[in-house]
Amino acid sequence: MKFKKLSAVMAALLAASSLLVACGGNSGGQDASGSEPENAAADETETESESEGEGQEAAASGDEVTLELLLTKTEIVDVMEQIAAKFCEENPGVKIDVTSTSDGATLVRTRAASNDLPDIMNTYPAEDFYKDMFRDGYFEDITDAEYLGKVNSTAMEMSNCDGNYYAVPMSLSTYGIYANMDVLEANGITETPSTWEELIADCETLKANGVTGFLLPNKDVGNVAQRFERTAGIINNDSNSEFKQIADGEMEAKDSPTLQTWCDYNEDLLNYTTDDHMGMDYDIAAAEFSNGNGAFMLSGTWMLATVQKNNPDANVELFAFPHPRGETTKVPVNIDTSFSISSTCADKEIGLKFLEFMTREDIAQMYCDADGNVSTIEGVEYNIPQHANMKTAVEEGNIFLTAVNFWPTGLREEIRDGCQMFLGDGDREAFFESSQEAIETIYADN
Amino acid sequence: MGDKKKKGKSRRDKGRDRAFLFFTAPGFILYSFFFIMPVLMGFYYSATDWDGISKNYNFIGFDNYVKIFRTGQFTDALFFTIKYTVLLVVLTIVLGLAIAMLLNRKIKGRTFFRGIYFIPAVLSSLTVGLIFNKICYYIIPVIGKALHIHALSQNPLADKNLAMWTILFVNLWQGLCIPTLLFLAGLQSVPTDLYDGAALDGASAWDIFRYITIPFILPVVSVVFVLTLKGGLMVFDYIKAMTEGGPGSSTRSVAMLIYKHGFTQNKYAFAIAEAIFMGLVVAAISAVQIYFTNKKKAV
Repeated sequence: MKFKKLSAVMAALLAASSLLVACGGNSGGQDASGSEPENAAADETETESESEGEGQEAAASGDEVTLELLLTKTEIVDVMEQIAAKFCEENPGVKIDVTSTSDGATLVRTRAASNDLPDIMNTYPAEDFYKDMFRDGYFEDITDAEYLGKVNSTAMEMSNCDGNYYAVPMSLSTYGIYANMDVLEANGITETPSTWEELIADCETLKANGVTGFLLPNKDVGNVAQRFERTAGIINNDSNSEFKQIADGEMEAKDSPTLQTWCDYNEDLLNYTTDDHMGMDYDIAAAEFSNGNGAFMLSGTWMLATVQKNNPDANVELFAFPHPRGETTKVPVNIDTSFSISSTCADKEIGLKFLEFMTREDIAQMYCDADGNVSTIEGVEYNIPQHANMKTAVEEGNIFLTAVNFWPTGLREEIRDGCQMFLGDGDREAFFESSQEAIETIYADN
Repeated sequence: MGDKKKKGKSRRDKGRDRAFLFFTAPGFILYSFFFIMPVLMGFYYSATDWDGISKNYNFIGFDNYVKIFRTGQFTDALFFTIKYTVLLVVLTIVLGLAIAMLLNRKIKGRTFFRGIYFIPAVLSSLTVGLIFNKICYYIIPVIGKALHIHALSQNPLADKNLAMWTILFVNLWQGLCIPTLLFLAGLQSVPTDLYDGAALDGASAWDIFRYITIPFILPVVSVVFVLTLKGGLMVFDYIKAMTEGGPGSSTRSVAMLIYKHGFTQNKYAFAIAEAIFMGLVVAAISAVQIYFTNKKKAV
């Protein structure tokens, strides 16, 4: 008798677990079945009705609607907390939880896989990774939103995905060379260089005075990858076509002008860096630069916040990376911050309201002042003297969308090991060999 | 009479079996759900071209497995991992045993030392990695320069020959605690009268170690061997925190490679295929290890 009861309990447990398993399997099957639009639509109506229900409940009982705002840029957490607080003040009954991570890609991947994307988050609409997610319906289509009219047309063009929009671009990051003006002035240099020869001449002057010219955090393989990607783009704005030729066997990596120039300019700069550049991480390099222990550092507009945190009195200026072969210099830009709401957002109405709120002139101004990147919102004044050169470049259209948006996914991460080795041992042949393999593998996979 | 007794016993046995079944069931269900299911799903996904996010994917059969050896990356990473594991296992057993034997002696402040040696075990390995990352940049070069040791006058993590040894050192610094504790417990289970007897018979210290200590702590050595083997073959967090596989790819373990393909290059299904292949390698190594352990036991 007892045994029967027990076995009944066991059977129930097993049945329950198999049900769970079946559920899991089922959803996987749906995913694979290719009837995705239908399902997505069904899901949407479901969540909508759910959220409506919640909204009504909230209104009736005075409960709060809590939305998560995920930031994959940790340097904007403070200002976004202030903006979120302002938003909540204007919208009683709404609570915004600001969360952040420095490893955005991994977190977004994991949360997307478990269908648990944050309600609102910052995305990079020009990158393939996010474009694929847009196409898969992970984020809300906001093409018809009125406030998109306030966004700069270049930025809109960059964030277009098959004719639709899923994100509100807030700012453009630009990349170049930061100069610590105090260090330069102490060595009799009053202006930032505008050609490669001037840059090298300045470095020579600094070297003669025993001052470090360039801080190159070469231990930080992520930074090496980014430097490679941005500067390869400066050397050849259409680096993708060149690498494609390599992948198709029309050219060998060792004959690639872009890769050769990359090696040349790095060989130059390595003469003016610290002895321990191969052991230096990005945060250490940024701290050394902020404190005047080096004159130049390659980075983008996002570094200003870090510099000012390290040393509020730092006198720095960002200027365009001069073309190492003397050709026209263009500034690489990327959409830096843009906000999207996920299709699983707990209350889409409020989510959309938040996007609109972000484009309001006073809020966009507040964001721009803290973030330091060139704002894309109409009416926002760009008051960052350190980035005056970049503002001019954007206004004059002397810019190009950075290479990572055109390269196949993973190229940057595949080629960076060879780049790091080259920076350490200067072995060109090994570098060309590893680049050849990396380019062939990645282009074959995509 | 005997039959009755037997019958009663068997009923009791049945009851006990049921109780055992009852206690085993939750574990079994949880294990199936959280372990066996994901493994099966892993096999399923490894036969697709899924990127980890997309809602659509295609079946491509064994293509991912064929691709593993398309470049030398996997073999290089596997070679590094095996080299690292062998060094880790040998050093853990030798050093762990040595420290345990020292701590087992009647020395002054024994409890204090036992406590001190255990402290690293309570830290997370990622934290330890990050701390040593800073030590390697700020402190080691200063010491190296002061002592005129050329190799240590720069960040050892930046040197492709020294990076692995540095990671190994940090791994041992933290990873020795638990094995030492296990060895210490093992040593204390050796009956002291055996030592006394051996000493009376005039056995040398080495003989005592070889013929009394070793046989008694052999089961512990076996446990430590398995634990360290697993830790070495799966090494990830120290490398992630200290070198990210660099300089170049000189400290890239298989786990790092899987992470790189899965999480930085969107080749999710391919990374799963690599993980399954690595799983098979680990299974093969474990089979050899179990075979030898059983053989030892039989003798």
